[in-house]
Amino acid sequence: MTTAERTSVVGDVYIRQVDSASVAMFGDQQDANLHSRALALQRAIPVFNGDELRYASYRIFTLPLPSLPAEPDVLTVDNTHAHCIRVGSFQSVLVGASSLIRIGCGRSVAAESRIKHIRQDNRPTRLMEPEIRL
Amino acid sequence: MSLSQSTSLHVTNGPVNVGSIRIIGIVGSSSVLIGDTGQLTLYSYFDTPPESYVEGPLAPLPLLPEADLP
Repeated sequence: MTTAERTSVVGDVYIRQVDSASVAMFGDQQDANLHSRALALQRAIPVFNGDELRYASYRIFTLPLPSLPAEPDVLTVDNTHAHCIRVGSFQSVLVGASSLIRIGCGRSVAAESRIKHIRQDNRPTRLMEPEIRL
Repeated sequence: MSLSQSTSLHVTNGPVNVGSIRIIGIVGSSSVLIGDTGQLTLYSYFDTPPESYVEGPLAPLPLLPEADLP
């Protein structure tokens, strides 16, 4: 499949943050291939000792992707006459974790994100707190 | 006879006009596309099971293997 070509006319854009293998694309592109992975460790007392974790310790990062059924054999005829894409205003606070914003034409988009979230209450145990006397 | 072999799809892409879009967040392999595209394949794994909440002074972390994933 060839990529259609269009002119993108964008009036006003506000994007505050684009992170973790994300793309904000204005105009045509071919293929987009986005991968990101994250270990999100949240602690009650925010004390961290550098590089503590390994992706290999968690199964989520090696789980196989579910397979999609094969594409049906369809004859596709595109009839695109290079019409313009006009966008008045676009606002987004965050584009993150292998996400894509595209105002324009493209061929294929493949994206994958894997996030493991751990919450740890690392406060001193309650046994050490003074007893409450009634 | 397979149904798919006789299927043909004619696509006519006209002009696109969008007034205004306001989004708070696009995360986790999401896409916002204004225009033409051929194929989309989006995967997102997000793991926060109940046992991911751990109480105590020791880190709930497995032993580190020798080598990390590439």
